[in-house]
Amino acid sequence: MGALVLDDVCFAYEDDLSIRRRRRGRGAEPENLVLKHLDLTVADGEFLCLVGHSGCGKTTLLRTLAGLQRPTSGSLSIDGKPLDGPGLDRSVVFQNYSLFPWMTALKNVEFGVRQASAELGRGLTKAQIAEVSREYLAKVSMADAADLHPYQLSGGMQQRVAIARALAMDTEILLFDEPFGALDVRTRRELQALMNRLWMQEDRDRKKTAVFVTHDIDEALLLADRIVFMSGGRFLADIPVAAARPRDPEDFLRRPAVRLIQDELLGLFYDAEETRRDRAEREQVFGEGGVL
Amino acid sequence: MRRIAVEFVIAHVLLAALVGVVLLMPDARKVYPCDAFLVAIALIEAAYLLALFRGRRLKPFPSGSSDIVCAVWVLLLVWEVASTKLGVAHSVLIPSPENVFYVFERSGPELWANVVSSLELLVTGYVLGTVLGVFLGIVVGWVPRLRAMFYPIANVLAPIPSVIFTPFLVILMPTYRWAAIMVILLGVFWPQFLSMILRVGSLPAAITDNARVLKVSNWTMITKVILPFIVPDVLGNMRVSLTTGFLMLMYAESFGAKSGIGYWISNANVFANYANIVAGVITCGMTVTALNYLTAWLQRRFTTWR
Repeated sequence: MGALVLDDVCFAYEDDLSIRRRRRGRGAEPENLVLKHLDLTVADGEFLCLVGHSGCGKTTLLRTLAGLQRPTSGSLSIDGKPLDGPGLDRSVVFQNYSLFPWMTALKNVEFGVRQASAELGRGLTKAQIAEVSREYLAKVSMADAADLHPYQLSGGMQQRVAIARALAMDTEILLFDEPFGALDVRTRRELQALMNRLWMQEDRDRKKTAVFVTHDIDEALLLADRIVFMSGGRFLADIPVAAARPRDPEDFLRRPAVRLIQDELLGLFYDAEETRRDRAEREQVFGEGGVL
Repeated sequence: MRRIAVEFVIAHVLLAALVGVVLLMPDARKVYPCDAFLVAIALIEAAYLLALFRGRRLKPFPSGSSDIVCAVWVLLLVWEVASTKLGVAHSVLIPSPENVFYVFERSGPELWANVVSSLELLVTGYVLGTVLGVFLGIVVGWVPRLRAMFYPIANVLAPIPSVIFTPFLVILMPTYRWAAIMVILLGVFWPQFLSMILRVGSLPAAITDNARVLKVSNWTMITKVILPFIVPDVLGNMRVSLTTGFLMLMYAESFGAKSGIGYWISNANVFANYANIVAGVITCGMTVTALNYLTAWLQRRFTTWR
């Protein structure tokens, strides 16, 4: 289980003076909302990509989902339970600093597994924690780097370890905040392929819910079951990407149907007029929902 | 390699000259036997060779060690010639090297006992000051309200030299030794305390976020996140405050002490025994150097992650 529901979620930074002034006044709508009345349901086992340009509120939304900040109004829930602060039903991979620099790769993963085990009452022994951690490090091809510190790892390797930790913690929901944003193109492709592979494996066992923030359209297309485009704190488009994994970038991104979504998203980025035409065309050809 | 070899040769020519002068030139002053001085020269030479041949292979010479040793030989040579051999230096103010190093032979155990007594004071005050500074610094740095209250207060109190409080400490503390320890403790505490408040406050938000999403308890936060984060700074500060601690120690031992290396020096001063004073200064230098090496080693040992 791991269904996420957002109901009329708004967020504004507390220290914004204009908000305080407004609140003290007539309880009117605060200005400078970063998130504006967001409604969203992420189904159990769904891989959702949040796409949008910088400053559109996607990272703010993810931080709210992670419990690092409370919504100003509205509510969030997981499987019907209201979300209150951080919790180990979710694990998070940040763009950087996902690892503690003073712990080795293995210790970092173990730390996450131990926290999850203690909090969720799984009662794993020390040996079991080490075993699970090594297993997941191997899954991301980092078994050899188990005893290295983060400063000895490249950015891509650090993110591999961070992904291993998130998966090893075995949480219902995974949150990714532009995890590949600081990586070069080639490393990014490698890690996208890794995510695809891991998701196929996870599919066989038990599907996990994922919310993945990115500003890279191709990345979203390669990974997502569904892409939500954000702009100015609102959702502008909600596009399903129903295609099997693994998705080979060379082939998949060249498919006509995928090109249409690409164009639509690009249009949204440029806020262009043809966006609506693109969508109409897609829906005409493939029907609403659009199986590729 | 050639340049290095030249320095090596010069150092040994100077060494030969020094030993030759000590043994062969007639004395103008009546001095103690020169064996202690020669032993000291041998020890310096041994330390020099050790620095050169660290490890099994001859590594590229550590830059400076040849220069340092040359300077030391020249200094000893000038000192020896001016005092013992020609007698042109002031006979009381500038004791002969033979007499100075003879102090180690004659009063070695006594000097050692004083060093031990000093180290007891220093280590107690230094360790207590560091532990208190780090612990209180973490707590105050971590709780915003405490930080807002204590950081300005600490900024006022920290620059006041702890020696100012000596008259009160002497009255308030049960023994003289505890008063001395308090002086050292305060001298070490403030810099460590201030630095910890700043350091904990500068914990990157990304790291705290990362800890928060893992839902760490306060205890885990302190032991597994904050403590490892500040350890490099604690050790860095320890190296710096070692000097402060030693300064405070020397001061503390100059009032009312019955033992200690600072006491040894001020006592020798009373009797105008300059050989003892110089020997005491040399002992101080060696002690500080040893402590410095120890803290440097600790710093290397416990800062493995950056």
